[in-house]
Amino acid sequence: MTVQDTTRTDDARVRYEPQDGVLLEVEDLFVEFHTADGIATAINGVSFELHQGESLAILGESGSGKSVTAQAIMGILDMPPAVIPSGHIRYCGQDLLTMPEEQRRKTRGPEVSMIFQDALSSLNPVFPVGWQIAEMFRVHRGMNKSDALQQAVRLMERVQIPAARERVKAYPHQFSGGMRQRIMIAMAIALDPAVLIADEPTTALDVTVQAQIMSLLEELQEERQMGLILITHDLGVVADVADRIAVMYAGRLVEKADVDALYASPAHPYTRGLLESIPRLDQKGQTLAAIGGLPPNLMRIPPGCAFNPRCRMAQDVCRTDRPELREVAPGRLSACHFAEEVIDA
Amino acid sequence: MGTYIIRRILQMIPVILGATFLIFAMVFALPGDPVAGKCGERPCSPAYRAAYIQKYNLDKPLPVQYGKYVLNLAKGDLGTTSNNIPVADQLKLRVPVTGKLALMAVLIETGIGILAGVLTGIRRGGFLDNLVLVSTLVLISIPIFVIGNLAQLYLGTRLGWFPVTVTSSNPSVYQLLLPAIVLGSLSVAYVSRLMRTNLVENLRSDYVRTAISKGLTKRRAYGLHALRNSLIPVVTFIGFDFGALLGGAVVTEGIFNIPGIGGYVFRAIRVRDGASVVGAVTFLVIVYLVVNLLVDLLYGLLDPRISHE
Amino acid sequence: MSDAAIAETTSAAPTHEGGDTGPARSLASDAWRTMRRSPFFWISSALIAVFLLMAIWPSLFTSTDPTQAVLSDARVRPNSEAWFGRDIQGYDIYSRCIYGARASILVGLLSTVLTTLVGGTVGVFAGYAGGWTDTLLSRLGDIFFAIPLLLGAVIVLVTLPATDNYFLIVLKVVLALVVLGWPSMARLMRSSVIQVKPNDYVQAARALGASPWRVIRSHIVPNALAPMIVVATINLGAYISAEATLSYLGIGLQPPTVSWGVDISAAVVGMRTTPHMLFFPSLFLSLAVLAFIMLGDVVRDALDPKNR
Repeated sequence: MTVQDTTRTDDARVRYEPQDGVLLEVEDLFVEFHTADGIATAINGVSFELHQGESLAILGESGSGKSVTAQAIMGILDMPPAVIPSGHIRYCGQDLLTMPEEQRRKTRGPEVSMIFQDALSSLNPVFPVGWQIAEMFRVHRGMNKSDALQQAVRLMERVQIPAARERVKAYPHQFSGGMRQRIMIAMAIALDPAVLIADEPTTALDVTVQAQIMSLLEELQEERQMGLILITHDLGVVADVADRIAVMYAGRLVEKADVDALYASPAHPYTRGLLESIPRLDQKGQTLAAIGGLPPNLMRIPPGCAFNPRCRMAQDVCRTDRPELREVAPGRLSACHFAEEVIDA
Repeated sequence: MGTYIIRRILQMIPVILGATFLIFAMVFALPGDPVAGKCGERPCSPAYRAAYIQKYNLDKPLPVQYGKYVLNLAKGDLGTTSNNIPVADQLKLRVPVTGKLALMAVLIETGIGILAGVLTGIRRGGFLDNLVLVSTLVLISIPIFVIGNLAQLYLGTRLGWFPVTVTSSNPSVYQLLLPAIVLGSLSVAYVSRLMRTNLVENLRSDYVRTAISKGLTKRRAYGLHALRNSLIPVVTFIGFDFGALLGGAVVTEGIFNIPGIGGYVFRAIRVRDGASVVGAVTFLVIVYLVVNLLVDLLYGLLDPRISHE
Repeated sequence: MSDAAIAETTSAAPTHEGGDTGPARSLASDAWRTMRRSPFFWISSALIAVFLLMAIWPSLFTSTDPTQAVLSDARVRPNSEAWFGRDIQGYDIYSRCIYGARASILVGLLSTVLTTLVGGTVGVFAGYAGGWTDTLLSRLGDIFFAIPLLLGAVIVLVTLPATDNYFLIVLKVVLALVVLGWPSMARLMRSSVIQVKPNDYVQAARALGASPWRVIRSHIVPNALAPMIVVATINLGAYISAEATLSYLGIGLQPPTVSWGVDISAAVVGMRTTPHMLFFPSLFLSLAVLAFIMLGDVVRDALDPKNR
């Protein structure tokens, strides 16, 4: 399928046009989980934009809120226990959070779609993979069974599944991990969405397969000029694919920069810690620096900068004043009181 | 699928042989008078005793006894009563009645059980959920002969909504309705609980999350994706239960005087006709095992993960 | 649906505080906290306590002899003298309901203890030994498991020689239930063993030369205990029900043994004119079964809260 044959011009369908190239705009988003033990603030005021054709990586440890951000955009948070007390998620200028549910449902698939970490559990075990891909065309396009299955075969071929025509009737458990993730990708790109969210798409895979899946995603993203949000905890995975990186810590963005600038000189001590913990061939023999301590309890986020208990540079001000995300250099944002010193270091 | 069927059948053979050996051992190999309690209140006649010993080769070594016993079973010989009537002939007449009753009970448990399970699984913690939880608990706790007798007394005799007992040898659906409800009541409780548990689990599964993020309606994501998976263990349970109902209707058939196999066993126990009891129960166990095998095959059909391994 | 999200948030939760309670201990105390709030837990516990008292000291509840026949008052309806009325023999039904608890509780407890011991031993042995021992024992269990409880018990009881001794009758019923009931316990125990055995600490204990008995006692049994208690409690209710059913059919306990099943069986004959004879023993029996099954349910839900 090419971009041309799916221009969004169907009469009944709402038309979405990016405004000034901005596909998706998350503004001051908060997400809380109301549990028996108390309220956990999973996302604590996050804002970012995604442009047409842009790859944005959201980086963070588990508990940083990166997956919750993705699920909030997709609208698949379990509510309750999740609550979105404030914030906006605008797709082509329209707020997804205030949109009627039926209208929002129709954006899932044709406009925004998502792939998940564990493809085996994310695919329905009792339906053939081709059927599951074809379901997108049948539900959203009203296509008949055999046409939809034809489309499914084409998509499976596009994501380089060998012998796609024969394997279209096979079940998820009959594929390898990498092939299953390709099927997830085929399903996600089926209706040519403008935004694709990939939540740790390679975490469950072997290293060699990881690289193949990442290059497939990159290829598809360029071919279709999708906006890609890549959720990961692994800096190494995103280096080649992402244009920009947003680093999350304890539910907040702590740094946002172009990928090259960020790699060259991080502007937040947490990012620097992450970079220093990647093994590198050119630094053989040196000790790897891990970040000491653990991420905070989201029910009791420390005052001031949430990272201060683990930060080697922490001063008194870090324990009292929360640093706002600010521009510390052209095109670079950081939420650190001493961002300038970190960059120069 | 083909290899799966063969494998299941091969696995079933030792179980059937083992189960028949177990019955054989309990009935014939225990020390004591082999025909004690086989002929009602009075002792068996010497003629029957001699015929019995000869028929079951009780004077021969144990393996020979068992071998001949299994061969007889395979030929459909379930033994003869003290009146010299083959048990198998007695059962042949009664199979259709028991089958009809079990089928009706299964239909009732399937309809009500799945409906209750789905409604409570989707609205967890609501009023209906708690109501069903408590009422299934009560149903599971009341022994079937209590439910049967109380239902017969109140719904049959007092209110007159249903026939009190069955009078014909080929009872109508209406005559079997109350017994079928009684028979299915316990299973309704199990089916609705199983359905609810599975649905609740599947509603939280990753693939239902995928279904929602594919832009499917909730109705389709829950009603097709989650339900299809949740039904697998429920359908399997209902299948096993059908096998159990075919054999477990002894009490219900006895209470309502139904001329099925269960009723036959019930009356045989009352008059201490041990030969009939043993023959009929052996038949029921074998039926149960065969139905189990069929359900296993059905399970393989329903869940592709099982049959492709 | 956002399990991952919740896991993500909660996985971070306890770490900052430093783990002061082990997972096993917090599970038990969590379960206790959940149970304490459940009215079902208190209802079932109270019922069980009352039934146990009835079984041990029936004279606490009544001073009437359950086998004292007042034939002139036979079939009399409930009145101020005989609270639940009298049966065909003129026995006091209230007194018989109280005294009937003993047989049911005895059969239930004995069957549960024996199935747990037999099944537990076989399960531990199969799971621990593995290999062909496991295959053999598991297949053997399958064979016993394949025979429906009631039908199998019918065969056992019809075949076993008749006796008049109270304890022999009880033992016969217990034997029938244990012979067919042990495999479910064996399966449970075996899966617990197989689950625990590959854990590093068990392997380490074995490598350090701990005897199998020690490994089983200190690692495997504690892990299997919770599901065993749940299943055993529910089974206890089921065995009481099965005993009554067998007695009702006329092959379990026999008169003159005082038992709910026996009394219900006797009451069926005259139930149209004297339903109280059927009603009261049925009520006691159902409450006893309910109490155990309810308790098992509550404990299971408390140990595994995800399905509530």
